[in-house]
Amino acid sequence: MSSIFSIGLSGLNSAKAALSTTSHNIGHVNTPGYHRQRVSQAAAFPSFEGYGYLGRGVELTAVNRVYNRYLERQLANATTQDANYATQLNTLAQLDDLLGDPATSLSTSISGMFKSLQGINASPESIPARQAAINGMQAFAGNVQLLNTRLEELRQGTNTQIRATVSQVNAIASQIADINVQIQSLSQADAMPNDLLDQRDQLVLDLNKLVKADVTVQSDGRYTISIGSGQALVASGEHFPLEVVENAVDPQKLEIAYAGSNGTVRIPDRLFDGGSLSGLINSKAEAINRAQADLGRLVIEVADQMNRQSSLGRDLYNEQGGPLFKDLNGFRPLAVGEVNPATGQVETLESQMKAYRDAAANFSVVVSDPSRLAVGSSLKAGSLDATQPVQPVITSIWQTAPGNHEDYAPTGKAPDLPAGGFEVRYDAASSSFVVAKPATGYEIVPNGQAAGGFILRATDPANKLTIEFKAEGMGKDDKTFTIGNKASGLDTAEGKADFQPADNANMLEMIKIQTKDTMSSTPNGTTNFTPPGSAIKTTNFEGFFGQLVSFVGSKTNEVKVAAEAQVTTLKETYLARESFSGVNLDEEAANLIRYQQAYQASSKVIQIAQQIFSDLLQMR
Amino acid sequence: MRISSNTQYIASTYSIQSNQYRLSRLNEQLSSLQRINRPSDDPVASAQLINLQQSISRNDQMVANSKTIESSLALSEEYLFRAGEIIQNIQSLAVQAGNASLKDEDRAYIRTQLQEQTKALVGLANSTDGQGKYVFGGTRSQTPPFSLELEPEMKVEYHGDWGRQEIQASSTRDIAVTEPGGLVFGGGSAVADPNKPDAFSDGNQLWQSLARLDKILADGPNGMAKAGGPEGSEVKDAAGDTVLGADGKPMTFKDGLPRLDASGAPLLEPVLDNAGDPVLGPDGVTPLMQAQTTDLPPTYDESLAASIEGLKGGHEQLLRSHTAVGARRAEVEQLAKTGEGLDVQYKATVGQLQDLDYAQAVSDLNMALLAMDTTQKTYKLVSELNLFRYL
Repeated sequence: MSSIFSIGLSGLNSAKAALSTTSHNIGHVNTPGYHRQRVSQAAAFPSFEGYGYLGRGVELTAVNRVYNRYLERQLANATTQDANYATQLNTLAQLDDLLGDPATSLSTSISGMFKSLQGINASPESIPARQAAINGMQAFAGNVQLLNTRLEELRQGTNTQIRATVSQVNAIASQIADINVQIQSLSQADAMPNDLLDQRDQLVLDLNKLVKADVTVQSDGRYTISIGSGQALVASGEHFPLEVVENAVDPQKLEIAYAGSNGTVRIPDRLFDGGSLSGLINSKAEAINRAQADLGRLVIEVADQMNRQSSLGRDLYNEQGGPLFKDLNGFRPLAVGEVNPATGQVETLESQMKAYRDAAANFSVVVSDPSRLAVGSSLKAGSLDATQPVQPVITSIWQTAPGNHEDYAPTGKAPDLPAGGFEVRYDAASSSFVVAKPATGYEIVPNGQAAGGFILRATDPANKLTIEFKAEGMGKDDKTFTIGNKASGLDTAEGKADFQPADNANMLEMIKIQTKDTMSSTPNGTTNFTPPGSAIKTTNFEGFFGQLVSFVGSKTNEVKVAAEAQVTTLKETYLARESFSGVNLDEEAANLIRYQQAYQASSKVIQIAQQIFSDLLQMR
Repeated sequence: MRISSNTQYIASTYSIQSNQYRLSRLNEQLSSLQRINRPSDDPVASAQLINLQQSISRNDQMVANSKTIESSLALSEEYLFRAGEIIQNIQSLAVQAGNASLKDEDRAYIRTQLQEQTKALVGLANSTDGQGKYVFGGTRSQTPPFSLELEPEMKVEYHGDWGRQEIQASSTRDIAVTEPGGLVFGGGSAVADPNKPDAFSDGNQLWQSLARLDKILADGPNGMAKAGGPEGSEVKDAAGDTVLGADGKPMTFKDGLPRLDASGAPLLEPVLDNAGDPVLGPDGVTPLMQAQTTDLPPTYDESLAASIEGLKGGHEQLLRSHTAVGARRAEVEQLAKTGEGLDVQYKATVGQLQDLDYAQAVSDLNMALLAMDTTQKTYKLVSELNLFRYL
């Protein structure tokens, strides 16, 4: 009888436990990270009654959560990669829109600048045309600054996000450490506090959204979380916080570090493999860095080429032309790993990026007086003496700046004419021009690209002096010309005599810079954005900008495709876990009925037992 | 196969989101009517588009330049045409001056006309364009290129230079828009050797012959050297004495030699022997004379003929420049036409890369809307299925 009672009671208890577990499950249907729990019951140890073993009721053995470690790990991996791609896409999409917008496109404003320079050619002395050209240059500089500012904002936004992410990582890590301790203290034999375990797993998933974290389960059930290539973030109850430190050379570059036994140890970027932290780091390293490096290299080259040609011309005051843009050659960096001969320092990625960013920030127009634009050439060609025939004549002559920056070193100025200038003779017998004075070292060849044009250059390849001129009326007469620099200034008689206000030969040459191949392609990768000095120049300014836009576009496209694929993978993994561990309300509803019936049946058993007892008591 | 209650929610949310994304992309394409709204939509085409935009922009600039060049050259051509007409007028004046029956007043009248025409010609050579730039000054466009003096004698000088101002008409062609006045008209009216006033130099014939014409009209036939007297008559020197010829006998005029200078005296030179000493006549004192045959000062008719030749040469020089300008104008027109044709080509290529297939996009949009609608309805229907309804 008492055994019936206790058996009924045990059934009641187990049904009650199952019911409360079921209602617990129902209540948590929407809790993220909740694994449904099941009560497992087993038969109590039977008692020997002489005729056999009699069961003694049901006993609850455990409340388990339905948990599959493999699915959990899959989900963590999928989550971390998804966060990685989503964060990268976020940054890259902004960069993509910025570069692709035709209104802010650098290519358009470079075209506009050269168009306004072309406007000078029609009327070289016209001040309004020159002012329009200066405005065109200033518009270009403004556009560069706009782009640079936006890139800086993107970079700083990324930096801010990195800091926020790291502090979030630290917060979550400390929470995990606390739960570790709690779980350990609450664990009794084989029973673990399921809800705390769920909380801890959800925290690990949240951590994976930020950074890829690997979990190792210790024998006592504690989690050891490690990131990167094994740096411990949480080890049992202790949590090792991460820090964000600035690079010594480039304060805009942030590095993640932790406090090791001997001071701060920096973790290399490539060890961060997933999560939004890695997405931020990667988008900065690949896209933002490349965009800023290319922008810096472009403006350094534009300023250099235009300034150099400008210094070979004469302005409306008959003075030698000055720089149009601020000289940025001081910022020009080398390829990573090369040693700077002047300072002896090795170029690192950080110093290279800093140099490019400073160059872009410093790009500006320094010429403001329209009359100071060096439109005319600084060379003149004249007859040797009055006995020379009228024809042939040299109709324009100018000096062409050397194409490469390296050809200007070490004096920093254009090559000079030999002392006393040139004497050039047109020889009617051979129908060609010859250099009469100096006797050796220079030659004249016809210019294949311009009809009636000739190039006077040095035979020694180290001397980069190049003079071009156009001649006509070559007939039967020999004629000797003198070629030299014009007298400068308008205050002397010679200066006034040599002043040619409608001469636009230098501007014509400057305009040709737009279509010259002046830029070499940027090497791929994230470790170096400067091609070596010997790289072949393959494209012009606008084509170079197009290469940058294409790079960002294809990178964005690549990440977009990967992100879409990853979202699907994440969804599938999540569904797999859900179908294993998630709560199904219909199932729980059916369970409610089942356990309710069991409860009713067990309570009936107790009622019957009570009735038997009372029947027993009523026996006289 | 077990699924949880959240499964349906997650799957439906995912479907709705991807439908919304597709709808918003189609919407963007339809509202901009472009297939490519940002470089990541098609990176390769975006790079091509940037290059095409660059080409289009340069081409537009070349076409605009061609128009500028055309208008400058039209102006030059107009002036050259009028200069040609003036030269023709002068040429007819020169022919009139050869009329032997002209009196001095008639010649003075012709000279006045000549000076007026020359002033007009120099005025044309000093003409400016709409902005006050001297068209024929070479690159010295701020000062008048030609200066003209009429007293005491006609003198024209060129103060410009020989440079040309050029404008880029295509990537390989810089076309000159100015003519240096020295190449078109001439450098100056001064002759190289004052003793040979009819020896005009190449390239300066126009001014030189104008100045010479002016001088001979001023001097008249009587103020210049004349041909010798009647055939066979005796040569008398300035004092009226007979002159002994090379053979020792009195000299007679023969074939117009010796020539008489402006005052009527014969132009003679002594006869030289092998050593270079003058051969003396029979009286042992006076040297024998012979007619001067070299470096003779020209007669009126000779100078007039030389001037008419010179004017012809100058006119030809002008015509050559005129033709060159015309040829450049024709070339520029051709370049402008080519540029416009290229523009159409470039725009067609851009359209191919960038234009949206409107019909396709609209039908995609309809399908996406249908899919979205269906997903939403399905979600509603399935979420209503719940066992708790029946408990």
